[in-house]
Amino acid sequence: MTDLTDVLHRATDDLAPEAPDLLLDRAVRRGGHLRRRRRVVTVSSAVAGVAAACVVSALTLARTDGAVAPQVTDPGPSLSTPDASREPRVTVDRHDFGATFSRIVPGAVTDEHDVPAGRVHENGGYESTFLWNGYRVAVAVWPYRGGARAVCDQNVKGSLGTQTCVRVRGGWAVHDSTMGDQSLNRWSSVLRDNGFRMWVMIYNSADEKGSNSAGPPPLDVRDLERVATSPLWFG
Amino acid sequence: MSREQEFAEFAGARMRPLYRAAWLLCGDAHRAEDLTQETLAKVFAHWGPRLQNPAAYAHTTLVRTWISHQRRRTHHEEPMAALPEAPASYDDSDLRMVLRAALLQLEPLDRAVLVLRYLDDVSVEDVATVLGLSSTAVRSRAKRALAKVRATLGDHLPDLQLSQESR
Repeated sequence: MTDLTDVLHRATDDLAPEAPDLLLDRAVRRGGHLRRRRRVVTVSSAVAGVAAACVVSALTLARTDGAVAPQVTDPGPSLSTPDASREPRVTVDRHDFGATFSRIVPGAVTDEHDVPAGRVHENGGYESTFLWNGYRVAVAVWPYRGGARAVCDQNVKGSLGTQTCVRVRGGWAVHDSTMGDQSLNRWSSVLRDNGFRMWVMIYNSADEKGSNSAGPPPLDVRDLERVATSPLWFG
Repeated sequence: MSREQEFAEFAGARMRPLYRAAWLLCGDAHRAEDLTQETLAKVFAHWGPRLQNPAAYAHTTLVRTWISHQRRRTHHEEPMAALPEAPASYDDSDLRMVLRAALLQLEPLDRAVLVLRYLDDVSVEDVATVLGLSSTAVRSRAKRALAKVRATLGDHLPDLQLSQESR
């Protein structure tokens, strides 16, 4: 006997996000942004409340004895001012990710921009996307804390055995057994020994998410791993 | 363990269940990834000792975020007259495609009721709380949705049994 619960589970058991570690990184960055924004709103509201109370008090005082007048003071630096120390520490300029990629895997690079546009990652990382020979590519680099092997092991734990950590030049790479010759989008994720994580993905079309109707992209995981382990990013 | 590490551990364990629910709601791998990412971002924004049941909070957030998207969207999905694109190689099983077709025929709230009740095994009362409906409304929606799903899945899964809500 089959009930709907069983059907739903059977139909979705092997579904998983294509790039869980990038999804997690983006979620953490976005979540951090939401958290800070919430804090700024809370602080701003509190400050506004206190300021309003002060103005009322000051006006009351001014009205009562005529000696105290409300004053406007410098609000100080904006809470949302970006921290310069959070700029990426990779040696490649953030606008040259596409050019660096094509030095490792030769091809024509166009339509390069930040992800999200114009913003450096909060935790000192950076993500760029561009077209390589007409195929959408994303390259992300961000720092992590802890040993490369330990962090890699931690990352593959949730993959239900489909991912393993493999020692590669200068770090540990996440290898995914479900990603093969027929995979429509391919990626490489390497925890470099220097404390940075490199993530490289190629889609099978110019679209940000690839296409379900096109064939696999022209670069395989080995090509992407060559990019992710290249010394060019860090000088 | 840092706050971020704690969250990463949680996300690693819960990402697949969240993604599965997202896929059933969205019927599309790309939108399901976006929904999962947005859900985890919201959970991370509230991450801390005061979040007593993060798994339940995450599922509630996922469903509410999706419903909110449905309300904001200017163009809703068309009922499944035809698939927009050929299915990807990894998700072209008959069962999944038929199920997707069946779910996409439902109103968003009905779809959410089925996913919460039958994938996540949430009680009728909790589904009602998550969706802001009465328990009676949840039962009634579940009954209606099951009947539609049964009609679509009938040929493929003749042994599909309806649950208590439909009887």
